[in-house]
Amino acid sequence: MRAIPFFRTATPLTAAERMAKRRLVLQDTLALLTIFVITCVLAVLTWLLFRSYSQHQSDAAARWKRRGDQALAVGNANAAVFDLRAALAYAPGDRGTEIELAGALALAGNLQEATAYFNTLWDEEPGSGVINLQLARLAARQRQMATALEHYHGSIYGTWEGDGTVRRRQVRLELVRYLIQQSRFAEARDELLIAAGNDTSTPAVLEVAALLEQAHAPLDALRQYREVASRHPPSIVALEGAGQSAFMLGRYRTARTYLERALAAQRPLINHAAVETNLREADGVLAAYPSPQLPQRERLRRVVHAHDVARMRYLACARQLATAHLAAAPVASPAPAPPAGRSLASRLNLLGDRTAQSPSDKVAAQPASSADSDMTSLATRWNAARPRLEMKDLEENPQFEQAEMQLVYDTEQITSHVCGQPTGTNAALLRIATSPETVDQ
Amino acid sequence: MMESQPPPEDGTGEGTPEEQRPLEQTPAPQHDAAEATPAQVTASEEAAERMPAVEPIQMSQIDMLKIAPTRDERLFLVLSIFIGIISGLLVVSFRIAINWVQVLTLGSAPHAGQWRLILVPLVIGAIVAALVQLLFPGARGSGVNNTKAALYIYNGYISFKTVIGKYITAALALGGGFSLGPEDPSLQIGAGVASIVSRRLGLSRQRLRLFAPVGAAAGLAAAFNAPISAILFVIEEVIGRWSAAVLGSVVLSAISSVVVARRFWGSSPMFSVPPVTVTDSRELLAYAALGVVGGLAASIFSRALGYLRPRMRNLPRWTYYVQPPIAGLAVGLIGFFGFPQIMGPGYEVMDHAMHGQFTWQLLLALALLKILATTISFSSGTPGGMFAPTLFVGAMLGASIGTFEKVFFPALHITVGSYALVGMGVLFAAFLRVPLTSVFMVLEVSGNYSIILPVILANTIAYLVSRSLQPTAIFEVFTHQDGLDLPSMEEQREEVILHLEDALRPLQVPIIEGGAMLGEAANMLDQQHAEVFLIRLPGHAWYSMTRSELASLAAVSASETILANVLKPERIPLLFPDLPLDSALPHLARWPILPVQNRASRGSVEGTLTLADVLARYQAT
Repeated sequence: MRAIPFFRTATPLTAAERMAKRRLVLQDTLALLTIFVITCVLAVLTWLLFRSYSQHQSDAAARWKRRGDQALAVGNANAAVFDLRAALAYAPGDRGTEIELAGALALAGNLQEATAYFNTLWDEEPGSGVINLQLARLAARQRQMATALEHYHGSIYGTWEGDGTVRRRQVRLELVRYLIQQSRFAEARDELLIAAGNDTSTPAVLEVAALLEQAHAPLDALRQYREVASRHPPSIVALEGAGQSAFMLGRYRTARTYLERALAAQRPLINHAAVETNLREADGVLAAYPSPQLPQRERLRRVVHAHDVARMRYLACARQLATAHLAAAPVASPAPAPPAGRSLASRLNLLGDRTAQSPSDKVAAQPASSADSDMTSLATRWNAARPRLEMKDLEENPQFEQAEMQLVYDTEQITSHVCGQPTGTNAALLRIATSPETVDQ
Repeated sequence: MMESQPPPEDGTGEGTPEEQRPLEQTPAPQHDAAEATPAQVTASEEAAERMPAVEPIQMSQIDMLKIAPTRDERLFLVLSIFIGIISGLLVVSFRIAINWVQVLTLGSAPHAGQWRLILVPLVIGAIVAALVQLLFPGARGSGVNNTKAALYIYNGYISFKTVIGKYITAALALGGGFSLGPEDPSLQIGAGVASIVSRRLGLSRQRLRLFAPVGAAAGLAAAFNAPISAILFVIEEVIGRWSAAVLGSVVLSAISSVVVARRFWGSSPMFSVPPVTVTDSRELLAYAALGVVGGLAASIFSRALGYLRPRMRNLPRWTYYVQPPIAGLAVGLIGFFGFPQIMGPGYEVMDHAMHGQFTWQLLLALALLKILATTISFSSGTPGGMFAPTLFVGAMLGASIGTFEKVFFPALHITVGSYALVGMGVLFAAFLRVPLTSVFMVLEVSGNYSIILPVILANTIAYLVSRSLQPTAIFEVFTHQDGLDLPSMEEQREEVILHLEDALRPLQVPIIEGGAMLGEAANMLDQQHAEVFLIRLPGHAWYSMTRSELASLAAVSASETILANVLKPERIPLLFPDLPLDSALPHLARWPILPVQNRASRGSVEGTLTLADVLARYQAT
């Protein structure tokens, strides 16, 4: 490669010109050296100035952020907004401060600004878990359910620094609470079942189980409680929860087991009174239930007893209904004669005292309402039933057992609708009627 | 070359005190001090300060071209790097100085209701006014125009005092809350550094002139952390044309200064916005609307400055001492009563706006108040630039429109930051009238290429709207207000360049072959009564001659002499129809008529040109 001389000359130089050229080279070299030295000195001075400036900037940023955090801690959101803005002026682009500032804006009630700010942060980092969470909360506050759900999911599947698994689970549970609040129980249950698999520690499972109960998923809640209750030492909360969930599901045998254990533990319960009440009711249900596992005699005795109790309940309800109809009838204008015989009320009344009535009284009733229709239907069935059920009838005709118990269940359910909630054995029978197949579970 | 420098009066060269220079020596506009307006007097004083320094000429009798023919060219490149580095360092320290002044005077987090917001600009305004009037008159005015003046009027001369003055007064003013920007002073500081450094080396006048834009590019590049924009701005607004002679040095200095600046500030772009995806083409309508709004705002801004600045400059001289404090008071009052965001350059506020921290109403208010505050600040003669306020107004307008859309048209899924960024470019294009620079500036300060489509659309619309409403560019307005007559780059860009084809006349003169004899040629001319003719020579060469010239030849040669043998050795240069018309002028002194050839078919003549044809064409325009 050919070297290009700095001073290229075309023609030979005279002595004076050579001298001038040497002086020129010297002058230029000195000038460039001087400029170089000046540049170095300037660089050092600028560096020192910059170092001091940077230190001040970072100190100021930290100071204002600290003040902002303190303001947030005492709930002074407006002051926090100011302080955090100042902190950002000294440390622009600090993501933590930006998120805090946006959160402070939301706390201060500046929802529009906070949303806009978070949206901008989200645009820059759409996968950020924390930004999505804040946006979800803001959307929830502004009743934008679709947006809230979108950002909740964005947060769950977004990136988190450090304790990502824990934070994701927390966000999921927050989402569940939001879904429960919005009565979207099925979605809440799905999220809870995922959350249950993420953390199997006792407190975590208990938290999920409690939320499952709120999400109207008692069966799943029971599973979670039972799983924890089976651990050693068993959690009193799990015992209580399992008992209550089982009770809710109509699994009175299971409920009684767990509720007894919970009470027997002699430790503070979440709702001691409810546990006692439910245990008592579970006992009542199990005492009234003609379980197939009972000896035949005992079972038949319970059927007969249930039959009697239900019949009494029916008669009492029929009388109550008749009284109510009479009271509701206008006094000034007597009710016209029923086209097909006596009024429903009088018929029900008469049916109530069947021994004093003639067979002509057993006329099919004309339904006046759904309750009347149900009661009329019930009246028909009771009229057709044996006035007094004996154990031997059941022994002779085993098929009666099922039919009689069905009549009992229907009676309890209809009368509970027409005449209000029953008490005592009727209440127990009503519980059994709801789900007879689960009582023994 | 040093010979081209003005001769020293006392032989001391550059050491001559600036105050001793007679006003008559400067090529600046001449005004009679007795009759001149205060503004003209100030302009003359500034011009006096800017007067070219006299260089030492120890070797004036030596032919520099002979002893060092390439010295200037190479020093030019080497010095460009030094200029870039020094400018970068000075701009970094300048920004730090502004921040220190701000922290020490306005506090670390100024907010509305603080009395210091009123007192500080008032006091600093008074100090700055005194400094400018008593010590640094050259610090007053636009740095861009000062640099252009250095390039076109003062042989690249910017005094050391002006650089120092600009640095100190601008740092005080900007730190004290005046609504001005640091980029324009940075540009002038860079140009000043270039001027000082280049004078030390005693380069030619032509080179000295070019150093000012080289330094300007360095200063601006360091201030914006945007080398391409700085280079384009200097070419678009200062030099006005793409010149190979200066482009290399401008690039070198800009890159050097940015490298230095990034060593301190880091390499991340000034603003961070997410990638922009225009999924819905309707969104482009919103950007177009932003362009229209930006064009209108730029026009309002220009008109406000065009109205207030000359009036304040024409007030009595003593008011120059009170104008900056009054301007500071006005800005301080705006800050005190709820809008401290408009004080100072406002970059952190722009960042907040990009992150959607403000409502659209507040953003709109900030844009309008910034126009007001900047108009007052700049018109008062307080040193500082227009770049940052322009960006501020643009960012606020853009963010305002973006936030408005976000609130009222949530389905569009727009990003406020991108609107703020496009808004910056829009104001830059419309107010400063640098459309190309504005596009690259947005790309560079954001480091985001995805925004280019909206930027180009909005900037173009804003530029056209602004031009239709305010035909004169703002820098040209300032130039006229300052009593200078600098070239308008916008006009230069739009100049219709005439080409040879515009003056071309169909071939009407005889063509004689070079192999013809003198006698034949003379007969042909007699027959055709032609005064001039063309001679076709081998190798597509041409020669033109007048009848009298032929007669002279015939007088000393036999009539059988071959014409080509007696012609002088030079030939008519190749000229083509698309060449600029002025490219023919140098040759018309020698040749009576010029043949213009076809590029595709060498040797075939498209037409001819004479001096009369060229002049007639120019006069026709």
